[in-house]
Amino acid sequence: MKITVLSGANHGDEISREMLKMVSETLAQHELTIFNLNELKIDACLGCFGCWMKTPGVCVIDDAGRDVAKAVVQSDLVITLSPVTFGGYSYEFKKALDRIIPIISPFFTKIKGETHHRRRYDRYPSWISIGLMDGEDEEAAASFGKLEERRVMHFYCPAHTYRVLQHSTDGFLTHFEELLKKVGVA
Amino acid sequence: MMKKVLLLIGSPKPGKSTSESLGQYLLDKLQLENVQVETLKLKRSLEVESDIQQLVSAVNQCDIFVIAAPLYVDTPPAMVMKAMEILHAKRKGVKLPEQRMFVLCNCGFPEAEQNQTAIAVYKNFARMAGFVWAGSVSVSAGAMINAEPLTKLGGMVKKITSALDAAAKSLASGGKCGDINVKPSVPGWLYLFVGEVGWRIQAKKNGCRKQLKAKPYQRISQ
Repeated sequence: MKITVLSGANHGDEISREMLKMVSETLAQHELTIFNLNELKIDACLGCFGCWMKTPGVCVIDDAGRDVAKAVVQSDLVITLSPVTFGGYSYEFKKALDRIIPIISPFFTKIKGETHHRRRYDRYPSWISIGLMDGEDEEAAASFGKLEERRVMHFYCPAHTYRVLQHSTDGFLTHFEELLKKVGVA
Repeated sequence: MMKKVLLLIGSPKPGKSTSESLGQYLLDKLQLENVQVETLKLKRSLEVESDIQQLVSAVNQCDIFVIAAPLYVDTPPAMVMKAMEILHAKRKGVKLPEQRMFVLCNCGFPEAEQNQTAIAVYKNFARMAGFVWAGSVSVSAGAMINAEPLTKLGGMVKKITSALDAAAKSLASGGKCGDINVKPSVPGWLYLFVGEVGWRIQAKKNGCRKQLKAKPYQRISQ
Protein backbone atom coordinates (compact mmCIF):
# COMPACT_ATOMS: atom_id res chain seq x y z
CA MET A 1 0.00 0.00 0.00
CA LYS A 2 1.23 3.51 -0.88
CA ILE A 3 1.05 5.69 2.21
CA THR A 4 1.92 9.38 2.60
CA VAL A 5 2.57 10.74 6.07
CA LEU A 6 2.47 14.49 6.70
CA SER A 7 3.65 15.96 9.96
CA GLY A 8 2.67 19.56 10.63
CA ALA A 9 4.70 19.73 13.84
CA ASN A 10 6.49 22.94 14.75
CA HIS A 11 10.27 23.27 14.74
CA GLY A 12 11.92 21.55 17.69
CA ASP A 13 8.97 19.27 18.46
CA GLU A 14 10.82 16.09 19.40
CA ILE A 15 7.67 14.30 20.57
CA SER A 16 6.14 14.57 17.09
CA ARG A 17 9.42 13.43 15.57
CA GLU A 18 9.26 10.35 17.79
CA MET A 19 5.64 9.77 16.72
CA LEU A 20 6.73 9.90 13.07
CA LYS A 21 9.31 7.25 13.84
CA MET A 22 6.65 5.06 15.50
CA VAL A 23 4.35 5.48 12.48
CA SER A 24 7.19 4.64 10.15
CA GLU A 25 8.11 1.47 12.08
CA THR A 26 4.48 0.34 12.32
CA LEU A 27 4.02 0.71 8.57
CA ALA A 28 7.46 -0.57 7.52
CA GLN A 29 6.00 -3.17 5.17
CA HIS A 30 4.24 -0.50 3.11
CA GLU A 31 5.56 1.98 0.55
CA LEU A 32 5.95 5.05 2.76
CA THR A 33 6.58 8.69 1.85
CA ILE A 34 7.13 10.90 4.87
CA PHE A 35 7.03 14.69 4.86
CA ASN A 36 8.20 16.43 8.02
CA LEU A 37 6.77 19.68 6.76
CA ASN A 38 8.75 22.12 8.92
CA GLU A 39 11.95 20.84 7.26
CA LEU A 40 10.73 21.60 3.75
CA LYS A 41 10.57 24.73 1.64
CA ILE A 42 6.86 25.18 1.05
CA ASP A 43 5.65 28.70 0.31
CA ALA A 44 2.17 29.72 1.35
CA CYS A 45 -0.54 29.59 -1.32
CA LEU A 46 -0.72 32.80 -3.38
CA GLY A 47 -4.46 32.60 -3.96
CA CYS A 48 -3.77 33.11 -7.67
CA PHE A 49 -5.88 30.20 -9.04
CA GLY A 50 -2.93 29.36 -11.29
CA CYS A 51 -3.33 25.69 -10.32
CA TRP A 52 -6.72 25.81 -12.01
CA MET A 53 -6.33 28.48 -14.71
CA LYS A 54 -2.70 28.47 -15.82
CA THR A 55 -1.13 25.09 -15.11
CA PRO A 56 -4.20 22.95 -14.37
CA GLY A 57 -3.52 20.44 -11.64
CA VAL A 58 -0.09 21.80 -10.75
CA CYS A 59 0.74 24.71 -8.43
CA VAL A 60 2.60 27.59 -10.09
CA ILE A 61 5.07 27.65 -7.17
CA ASP A 62 7.86 25.17 -7.83
CA ASP A 63 8.80 23.83 -4.39
CA ALA A 64 8.05 20.90 -2.10
CA GLY A 65 4.36 21.86 -2.05
CA ARG A 66 4.08 20.21 -5.47
CA ASP A 67 5.70 17.03 -4.13
CA VAL A 68 3.19 16.86 -1.29
CA ALA A 69 0.19 17.28 -3.62
CA LYS A 70 1.53 14.60 -5.97
CA ALA A 71 2.26 12.17 -3.15
CA VAL A 72 -1.18 12.69 -1.61
CA VAL A 73 -3.16 11.98 -4.74
CA GLN A 74 -1.00 9.01 -5.69
CA SER A 75 -1.41 7.36 -2.27
CA ASP A 76 -3.89 4.80 -1.01
CA LEU A 77 -3.75 6.31 2.46
CA VAL A 78 -2.68 9.65 3.90
CA ILE A 79 -1.81 10.01 7.59
CA THR A 80 -1.52 13.49 9.01
CA LEU A 81 -0.35 14.74 12.36
CA SER A 82 -0.94 18.35 13.28
CA PRO A 83 -0.89 20.31 16.50
CA VAL A 84 -4.48 21.40 17.15
CA THR A 85 -4.00 25.14 16.70
CA PHE A 86 -6.93 27.27 17.87
CA GLY A 87 -9.07 24.30 16.92
CA GLY A 88 -7.59 24.20 13.44
CA TYR A 89 -4.35 23.15 11.84
CA SER A 90 -0.83 24.38 12.52
CA TYR A 91 0.73 26.88 10.11
CA GLU A 92 3.15 24.20 8.86
CA PHE A 93 0.32 21.80 8.09
CA LYS A 94 -2.02 24.46 6.71
CA LYS A 95 0.63 25.64 4.25
CA ALA A 96 0.80 22.16 2.78
CA LEU A 97 -2.97 21.70 2.88
CA ASP A 98 -3.61 24.96 0.98
CA ARG A 99 -1.11 23.78 -1.65
CA ILE A 100 -2.98 20.49 -2.16
CA ILE A 101 -5.88 22.35 -3.82
CA PRO A 102 -4.57 21.62 -7.35
CA ILE A 103 -5.73 18.01 -6.93
CA ILE A 104 -9.38 19.06 -7.06
CA SER A 105 -11.26 20.72 -9.89
CA PRO A 106 -12.31 24.37 -10.12
CA PHE A 107 -15.78 23.23 -11.21
CA PHE A 108 -18.60 22.82 -8.76
CA THR A 109 -20.89 20.11 -7.52
CA LYS A 110 -23.35 19.71 -4.68
CA ILE A 111 -22.74 17.42 -1.74
CA LYS A 112 -25.66 17.18 0.71
CA GLY A 113 -27.06 20.39 -0.78
CA GLU A 114 -23.84 22.35 -0.28
CA THR A 115 -21.45 23.59 -2.98
CA HIS A 116 -18.08 21.88 -3.25
CA HIS A 117 -15.40 21.55 -5.88
CA ARG A 118 -15.55 18.51 -8.10
CA ARG A 119 -12.98 15.77 -8.06
CA ARG A 120 -10.15 16.02 -10.57
CA TYR A 121 -9.07 12.41 -10.22
CA ASP A 122 -11.01 9.17 -10.24
CA ARG A 123 -9.60 8.03 -6.93
CA TYR A 124 -8.40 9.74 -3.79
CA PRO A 125 -6.68 8.35 -0.70
CA SER A 126 -8.29 7.34 2.55
CA TRP A 127 -7.24 9.59 5.38
CA ILE A 128 -6.25 9.31 9.04
CA SER A 129 -5.99 12.67 10.76
CA ILE A 130 -4.39 12.99 14.19
CA GLY A 131 -4.70 16.26 16.08
CA LEU A 132 -2.26 16.73 18.94
CA MET A 133 -3.01 18.86 21.99
CA ASP A 134 -1.14 19.85 25.12
CA GLY A 135 -3.73 19.75 27.88
CA GLU A 136 -7.51 19.86 27.49
CA ASP A 137 -9.56 22.29 25.45
CA GLU A 138 -13.01 20.96 24.57
CA GLU A 139 -13.89 23.83 22.27
CA ALA A 140 -10.68 23.51 20.29
CA ALA A 141 -11.06 19.71 20.05
CA ALA A 142 -14.67 20.11 18.87
CA SER A 143 -13.61 22.68 16.23
CA PHE A 144 -10.94 20.30 14.97
CA GLY A 145 -13.47 17.48 14.72
CA LYS A 146 -15.89 19.61 12.68
CA LEU A 147 -13.06 20.62 10.37
CA GLU A 148 -12.10 17.03 9.76
CA GLU A 149 -15.69 15.98 9.01
CA ARG A 150 -15.77 18.65 6.31
CA ARG A 151 -12.23 18.27 4.95
CA VAL A 152 -12.72 14.65 3.96
CA MET A 153 -15.61 15.76 1.72
CA HIS A 154 -13.31 18.17 -0.14
CA PHE A 155 -10.78 15.44 -0.85
CA TYR A 156 -13.26 12.66 -1.57
CA CYS A 157 -11.73 10.31 0.98
CA PRO A 158 -13.25 6.83 0.57
CA ALA A 159 -12.47 5.95 4.22
CA HIS A 160 -11.45 8.37 6.92
CA THR A 161 -11.10 8.81 10.62
CA TYR A 162 -9.67 11.36 13.00
CA ARG A 163 -8.74 11.54 16.64
CA VAL A 164 -7.52 14.28 18.95
CA LEU A 165 -4.76 12.96 21.19
CA GLN A 166 -2.53 14.32 23.87
CA HIS A 167 0.82 15.48 22.57
CA SER A 168 2.64 12.53 24.10
CA THR A 169 4.08 9.24 22.92
CA ASP A 170 2.37 7.46 25.87
CA GLY A 171 -0.36 5.30 24.41
CA PHE A 172 0.15 6.77 20.92
CA LEU A 173 0.80 3.43 19.26
CA THR A 174 -2.40 1.91 20.69
CA HIS A 175 -4.47 4.80 19.30
CA PHE A 176 -2.64 4.66 15.99
CA GLU A 177 -3.27 0.95 15.53
CA GLU A 178 -6.99 1.50 16.28
CA LEU A 179 -7.13 4.24 13.65
CA LEU A 180 -5.47 2.00 11.07
CA LYS A 181 -8.10 -0.70 11.72
CA LYS A 182 -10.88 1.89 11.26
CA VAL A 183 -9.73 2.63 7.70
CA GLY A 184 -9.17 -1.03 6.95
CA VAL A 185 -5.40 -1.22 7.23
CA ALA A 186 -4.27 -4.35 9.08
CA MET B 1 -10.05 58.89 24.10
CA MET B 2 -10.55 57.94 20.45
CA LYS B 3 -10.75 54.19 19.88
CA LYS B 4 -8.19 52.68 17.55
CA VAL B 5 -8.91 49.90 15.07
CA LEU B 6 -6.25 47.81 13.37
CA LEU B 7 -7.26 46.05 10.16
CA LEU B 8 -5.01 43.12 9.29
CA ILE B 9 -5.52 42.10 5.66
CA GLY B 10 -4.96 38.35 5.61
CA SER B 11 -5.24 37.75 1.88
CA PRO B 12 -2.03 36.30 0.38
CA LYS B 13 -2.65 38.11 -2.93
CA PRO B 14 0.13 40.62 -3.56
CA GLY B 15 -2.19 43.37 -4.86
CA LYS B 16 -5.80 44.25 -4.11
CA SER B 17 -8.13 41.61 -2.70
CA THR B 18 -11.74 41.06 -1.74
CA SER B 19 -10.57 40.93 1.88
CA GLU B 20 -9.17 44.43 1.48
CA SER B 21 -12.38 45.65 -0.17
CA LEU B 22 -14.42 44.41 2.78
CA GLY B 23 -11.95 45.67 5.37
CA GLN B 24 -11.55 49.09 3.79
CA TYR B 25 -15.31 49.63 3.62
CA LEU B 26 -15.60 48.80 7.33
CA LEU B 27 -12.72 51.13 8.19
CA ASP B 28 -14.25 54.00 6.18
CA LYS B 29 -17.47 53.57 8.14
CA LEU B 30 -15.60 53.41 11.44
CA GLN B 31 -13.79 56.67 10.62
CA LEU B 32 -17.21 58.32 10.24
CA GLU B 33 -17.91 57.12 13.79
CA ASN B 34 -14.83 58.96 15.01
CA VAL B 35 -12.61 55.89 15.29
CA GLN B 36 -8.91 56.02 14.46
CA VAL B 37 -7.95 53.37 11.90
CA GLU B 38 -4.76 51.65 10.75
CA THR B 39 -4.23 48.99 8.08
CA LEU B 40 -1.53 46.33 7.99
CA LYS B 41 -1.14 43.90 5.11
CA LEU B 42 0.05 40.50 6.25
CA LYS B 43 3.46 39.77 4.79
CA ARG B 44 4.30 36.63 2.78
CA SER B 45 6.84 35.71 5.44
CA LEU B 46 6.99 36.36 9.17
CA GLU B 47 10.54 35.17 9.85
CA VAL B 48 12.35 38.49 10.29
CA GLU B 49 12.17 39.81 13.85
CA SER B 50 11.36 43.38 12.74
CA ASP B 51 8.30 42.14 10.80
CA ILE B 52 7.14 40.13 13.79
CA GLN B 53 7.60 43.11 16.11
CA GLN B 54 5.69 45.38 13.74
CA LEU B 55 2.74 42.98 13.78
CA VAL B 56 2.76 42.37 17.52
CA SER B 57 3.19 46.04 18.37
CA ALA B 58 0.38 47.13 16.03
CA VAL B 59 -2.00 44.51 17.42
CA ASN B 60 -1.15 45.20 21.07
CA GLN B 61 -1.75 48.93 20.64
CA CYS B 62 -5.22 48.75 19.12
CA ASP B 63 -8.59 48.65 20.84
CA ILE B 64 -10.28 46.58 18.15
CA PHE B 65 -8.36 44.00 16.11
CA VAL B 66 -10.02 43.23 12.78
CA ILE B 67 -8.85 40.41 10.55
CA ALA B 68 -10.15 40.33 6.97
CA ALA B 69 -9.21 37.12 5.18
CA PRO B 70 -10.45 34.56 2.69
CA LEU B 71 -11.53 31.03 3.48
CA TYR B 72 -9.02 28.40 2.35
CA VAL B 73 -10.04 24.77 2.90
CA ASP B 74 -12.54 25.70 5.61
CA THR B 75 -9.97 27.61 7.67
CA PRO B 76 -7.91 30.80 7.67
CA PRO B 77 -5.06 30.90 5.13
CA ALA B 78 -1.70 29.57 6.32
CA MET B 79 -0.09 32.98 6.89
CA VAL B 80 -3.03 34.10 9.02
CA MET B 81 -2.49 30.96 11.13
CA LYS B 82 1.20 31.91 11.37
CA ALA B 83 0.30 35.44 12.49
CA MET B 84 -2.09 34.10 15.13
CA GLU B 85 0.50 31.58 16.39
CA ILE B 86 3.00 34.42 16.80
CA LEU B 87 0.52 36.75 18.48
CA HIS B 88 -0.63 34.02 20.87
CA ALA B 89 2.95 33.22 21.87
CA LYS B 90 4.03 36.87 22.24
CA ARG B 91 0.96 37.90 24.24
CA LYS B 92 1.27 35.14 26.87
CA GLY B 93 1.69 36.68 30.28
CA VAL B 94 1.56 40.25 28.92
CA LYS B 95 -0.87 42.50 30.72
CA LEU B 96 -2.91 44.42 28.16
CA PRO B 97 -6.04 46.57 28.39
CA GLU B 98 -9.28 45.04 27.08
CA GLN B 99 -9.15 44.52 23.33
CA ARG B 100 -11.92 43.27 21.08
CA MET B 101 -11.58 41.16 17.96
CA PHE B 102 -13.75 41.16 14.85
CA VAL B 103 -13.41 39.09 11.70
CA LEU B 104 -14.43 39.55 8.07
CA CYS B 105 -14.31 36.19 6.33
CA ASN B 106 -15.08 35.65 2.65
CA CYS B 107 -15.47 32.54 0.53
CA GLY B 108 -16.15 31.81 -3.10
CA PHE B 109 -19.09 29.51 -2.41
CA PRO B 110 -22.67 30.75 -2.41
CA GLU B 111 -23.19 29.49 1.14
CA ALA B 112 -21.85 31.96 3.69
CA GLU B 113 -22.25 29.30 6.40
CA GLN B 114 -19.20 27.55 4.98
CA ASN B 115 -17.11 30.27 6.65
CA GLN B 116 -18.19 29.15 10.12
CA THR B 117 -15.45 26.56 10.63
CA ALA B 118 -12.92 29.36 10.10
CA ILE B 119 -14.88 31.66 12.41
CA ALA B 120 -14.62 28.94 15.09
CA VAL B 121 -10.81 28.96 14.68
CA TYR B 122 -10.72 32.76 14.98
CA LYS B 123 -12.94 32.60 18.06
CA ASN B 124 -10.66 30.05 19.72
CA PHE B 125 -7.68 32.28 18.93
CA ALA B 126 -9.46 35.32 20.43
CA ARG B 127 -10.24 33.35 23.59
CA MET B 128 -6.71 31.99 23.93
CA ALA B 129 -4.91 35.25 23.06
CA GLY B 130 -6.93 37.46 25.39
CA PHE B 131 -9.38 39.23 23.06
CA VAL B 132 -13.09 39.75 23.67
CA TRP B 133 -14.99 38.40 20.66
CA ALA B 134 -16.91 41.24 19.03
CA GLY B 135 -18.44 39.27 16.18
CA SER B 136 -17.94 38.56 12.52
CA VAL B 137 -19.39 39.09 9.09
CA SER B 138 -19.05 36.14 6.71
CA VAL B 139 -19.48 36.87 3.03
CA SER B 140 -20.36 34.37 0.33
CA ALA B 141 -19.88 34.53 -3.43
CA GLY B 142 -16.74 36.57 -2.94
CA ALA B 143 -15.87 36.45 -6.64
CA MET B 144 -18.65 38.98 -7.25
CA ILE B 145 -16.61 41.58 -5.37
CA ASN B 146 -13.42 40.65 -7.21
CA ALA B 147 -11.25 43.07 -5.19
CA GLU B 148 -13.27 46.13 -6.26
CA PRO B 149 -14.17 48.83 -3.72
CA LEU B 150 -17.65 48.05 -2.39
CA THR B 151 -18.77 51.64 -3.05
CA LYS B 152 -18.40 50.99 -6.80
CA LEU B 153 -20.53 47.84 -6.86
CA GLY B 154 -23.95 49.30 -6.11
CA GLY B 155 -26.95 47.14 -5.29
CA MET B 156 -25.08 43.93 -5.94
CA VAL B 157 -23.38 44.27 -2.53
CA LYS B 158 -26.26 45.91 -0.64
CA LYS B 159 -26.61 42.98 1.75
CA ILE B 160 -22.88 43.12 2.51
CA THR B 161 -22.72 46.87 3.02
CA SER B 162 -25.81 46.78 5.26
CA ALA B 163 -24.15 44.18 7.45
CA LEU B 164 -20.89 46.17 7.55
CA ASP B 165 -22.73 49.44 8.32
CA ALA B 166 -24.38 47.77 11.30
CA ALA B 167 -21.08 46.20 12.39
CA ALA B 168 -19.30 49.57 12.25
CA LYS B 169 -21.93 51.22 14.45
CA SER B 170 -21.83 48.33 16.90
CA LEU B 171 -18.03 48.27 17.12
CA ALA B 172 -17.78 52.05 17.50
CA SER B 173 -20.25 52.04 20.38
CA GLY B 174 -18.44 49.24 22.22
CA GLY B 175 -20.96 46.53 21.41
CA LYS B 176 -20.92 43.14 19.72
CA CYS B 177 -22.56 42.36 16.43
CA GLY B 178 -22.91 38.57 16.54
CA ASP B 179 -21.71 36.23 13.78
CA ILE B 180 -23.49 37.30 10.63
CA ASN B 181 -23.68 35.25 7.42
CA VAL B 182 -24.43 37.34 4.34
CA LYS B 183 -26.20 35.53 1.50
CA PRO B 184 -25.36 36.44 -2.10
CA SER B 185 -27.57 38.90 -3.91
CA VAL B 186 -28.06 36.51 -6.84
CA PRO B 187 -29.34 32.91 -6.78
CA GLY B 188 -26.58 30.42 -6.00
CA TRP B 189 -27.07 28.47 -9.21
CA LEU B 190 -26.60 31.66 -11.30
CA TYR B 191 -23.46 32.64 -9.42
CA LEU B 192 -21.97 29.18 -9.96
CA PHE B 193 -22.93 29.14 -13.63
CA VAL B 194 -21.28 32.50 -14.26
CA GLY B 195 -18.30 31.40 -12.18
CA GLU B 196 -17.69 28.31 -14.29
CA VAL B 197 -18.02 30.33 -17.49
CA GLY B 198 -15.42 32.66 -15.99
CA TRP B 199 -13.04 29.76 -15.32
CA ARG B 200 -13.29 28.70 -18.97
CA ILE B 201 -12.73 32.24 -20.27
CA GLN B 202 -9.72 32.70 -18.04
CA ALA B 203 -8.26 29.35 -19.02
CA LYS B 204 -8.68 30.21 -22.71
CA LYS B 205 -6.82 33.51 -22.17
CA ASN B 206 -4.03 31.52 -20.53
CA GLY B 207 -3.93 29.01 -23.39
CA CYS B 208 -4.99 26.03 -21.27
CA ARG B 209 -8.72 25.74 -21.97
CA LYS B 210 -8.33 22.16 -23.21
CA GLN B 211 -6.21 21.17 -20.19
CA LEU B 212 -8.71 22.29 -17.55
CA LYS B 213 -9.46 18.71 -16.56
CA ALA B 214 -5.81 17.58 -16.73
CA LYS B 215 -4.65 14.89 -14.33
CA PRO B 216 -0.89 15.51 -14.19
CA TYR B 217 -0.41 13.33 -11.09
CA GLN B 218 -2.47 10.41 -12.33
CA ARG B 219 -1.10 7.23 -10.82
CA ILE B 220 -0.10 4.88 -13.60
CA SER B 221 -1.56 1.83 -11.89
CA GLN B 222 -4.97 3.58 -11.36
